[in-house]
Amino acid sequence: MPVVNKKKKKCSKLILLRNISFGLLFVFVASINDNPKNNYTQRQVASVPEPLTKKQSQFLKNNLLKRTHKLTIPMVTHISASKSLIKKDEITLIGHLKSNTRLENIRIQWLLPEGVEMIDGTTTSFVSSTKQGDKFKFKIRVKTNNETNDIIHLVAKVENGNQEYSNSSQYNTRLQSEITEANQALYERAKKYKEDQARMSN
Amino acid sequence: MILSLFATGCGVVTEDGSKHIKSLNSRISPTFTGVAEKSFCNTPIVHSSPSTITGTATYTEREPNGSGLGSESPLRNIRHAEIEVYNSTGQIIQCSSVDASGNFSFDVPTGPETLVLRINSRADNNFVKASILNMPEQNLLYFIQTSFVGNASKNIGNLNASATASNYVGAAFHILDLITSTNDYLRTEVGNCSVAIDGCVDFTVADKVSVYWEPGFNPNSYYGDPESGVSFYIRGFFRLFILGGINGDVDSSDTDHFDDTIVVHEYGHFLQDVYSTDDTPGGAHDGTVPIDPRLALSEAWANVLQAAVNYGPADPNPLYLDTAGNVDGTVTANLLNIPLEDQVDGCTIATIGCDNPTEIGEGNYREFAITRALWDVIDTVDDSETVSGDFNQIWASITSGNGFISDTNSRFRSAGLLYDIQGSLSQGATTPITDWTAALTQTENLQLNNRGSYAQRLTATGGCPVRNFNINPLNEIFDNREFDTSNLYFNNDFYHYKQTVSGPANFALNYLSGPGVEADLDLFIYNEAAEYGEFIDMVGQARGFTNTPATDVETETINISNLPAGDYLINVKVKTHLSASVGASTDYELTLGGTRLCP
Repeated sequence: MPVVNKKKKKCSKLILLRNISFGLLFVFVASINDNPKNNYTQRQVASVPEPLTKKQSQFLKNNLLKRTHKLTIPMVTHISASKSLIKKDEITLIGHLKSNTRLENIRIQWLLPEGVEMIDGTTTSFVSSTKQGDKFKFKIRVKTNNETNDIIHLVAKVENGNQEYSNSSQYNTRLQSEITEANQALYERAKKYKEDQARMSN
Repeated sequence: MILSLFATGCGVVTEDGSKHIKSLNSRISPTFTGVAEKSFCNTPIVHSSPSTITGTATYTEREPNGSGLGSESPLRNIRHAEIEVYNSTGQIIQCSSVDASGNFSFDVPTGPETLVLRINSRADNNFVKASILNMPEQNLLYFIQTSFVGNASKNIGNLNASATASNYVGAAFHILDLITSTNDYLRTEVGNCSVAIDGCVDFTVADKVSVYWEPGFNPNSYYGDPESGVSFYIRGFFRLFILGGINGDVDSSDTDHFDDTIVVHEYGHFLQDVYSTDDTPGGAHDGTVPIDPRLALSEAWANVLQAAVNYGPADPNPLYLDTAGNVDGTVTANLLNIPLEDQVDGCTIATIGCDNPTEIGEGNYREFAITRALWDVIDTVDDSETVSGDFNQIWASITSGNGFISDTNSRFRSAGLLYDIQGSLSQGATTPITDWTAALTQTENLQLNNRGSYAQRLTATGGCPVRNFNINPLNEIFDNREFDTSNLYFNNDFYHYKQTVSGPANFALNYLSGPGVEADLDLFIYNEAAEYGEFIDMVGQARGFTNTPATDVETETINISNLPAGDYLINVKVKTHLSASVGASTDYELTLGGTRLCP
């Protein structure tokens, strides 16, 4: 079922009214597209992997996660959720924090968008110190708006003089399961494609 | 008058999860070969009795505001981006590009027809060659466009790509601009480097790169970790993936499109891939512990390039800055802000980016120690060193014509090799080759200026003393006795061995501990990929241990009946399973076929 997006509708109306009221001669559009007449063109994708160069083969030989990437933040956050079977607008959220090194004075904060109400729990917590591998949980219960997909964030932040490290996670009140499924399906496709490429290069 | 639909303040991306799901469903793999990107519109078309159309092109970005990103910036010039002009039937009637100041000027046929001007998020000219695309599966460009009537020569005003609206198209142009700035920097610093340094190849413009970015998309989703924001470069494919947000959210999540540090850093990996040789095995890195020196060099190069481009050599406080969220969202934070000139006062081994070496040579295993050292040879800020302006020598050392790439001894490339090469550069007509010692040996850098601490080449000459090497085991409380926590500097030694002809290879490690607890050393032979601890890369291993008596010479042997010709990495590793002590200082030798392997 499509999600009602009141904000988007409201904006669209504003844009329309503005366009009409200004009597525009020129309309400026920004998008991704290769056809100036269409708003979006879904192109067909090739299905057969192409032969690889030696360097590409070497890359694919490695584990999927072995690649050049940016610095790792030394703590990991995650949100798990359970919805009430009786009160369908209530969600219990558990924020998980795992420390990958020794850290001090971690501030944990739940950030709730407008329309999401805290029923139980606290928005801010502190962890005084951690060692590598320590895990923590932070539980809250919230009441949500059933008509919109709201995004709730959990933020863990360490401030050390002028330095700051942080990490955050999000939970989508209505679309989380669909997003998770789509992400998982993408991972499976990427994995299979990589295996096909590696097989072809052998 | 031109009205941007994206100047209305309707930041709806955060709530449009269904659009994000559609994007996920369209994707397959970061290495996917989709429909080719459309051809560049490079050749101007001559029209008789034309009208000349002029105007300007700008974009806006989000700048750091101390913790996260702020509101929309002032207008920035779009530079060198491709221009297409379409007629009413969708045919291209003119090709051009924006100039360095954001101005455009092109001719169209004079007439009453309404035409469309489009400025694309790509360039293919003498200044920059890059395309900012949505995904490899579709290869679609971002653009801004407007319509006009070509009935007379006119100025059609300004087109702006904003950073406040639902598709953040300004971010695509910002990424393009950062790549342009990097090319500008390289042209300034090494566009004429052959005059100063023999063999240095003058830089003109970098090869084309494809940058994949979509607002709200995390490239880590391809790898099964959609919650953890990541940007990366894929070697050999010439593709950058820049983090556009998490699960459709751009305002309250980790994004990298406005993190100048991350964009130029990843582009630095591309440059190293194209113009040098990057031997990094990849893997996680957080600037706290010694890491594989190949990874450390690769990351340090990218760190120092971004500092040079984004901050400039006179800046006393360049940062590695990675932000999350902006003022329009609920989260604004710095994920990391690491100083690159000096360590943070009072930082500890657990402080990210502190990367505190304790002796000369350990710094070669630490990303930020190398970064600080290389920054010191570039910057004009003197912190007990007066080396400055030597980016050209870094570039000359890691690129062609000097041995870093081509020499048969140049394998398992690390900072030690870079320093080795720099020390042997030949002075050109102008600039003397600089002694980097003062920068390399700073207390917080502690670089060894050769390969003595990693991948020194050994040959079976026998011309070195008995048990000529030494390792002094270190006991660390977070060492879980596995490969992933083994201290790569203190509890491991690495050597380069070249098998020149395929054939038998019988390696032996003979070791004798000093007074105290006998150490347990293991021997591993890795192939050229040599990913530490990966059994698939080991061509041989010997992990035995004999503890009686404690004062005898212990031996580990690896006998390979037919070792193919090639380059191998010998690893002597302390097995730290002895809980009371990891063992005393130990002398050892390596032999091949009974003959000692010597430097």
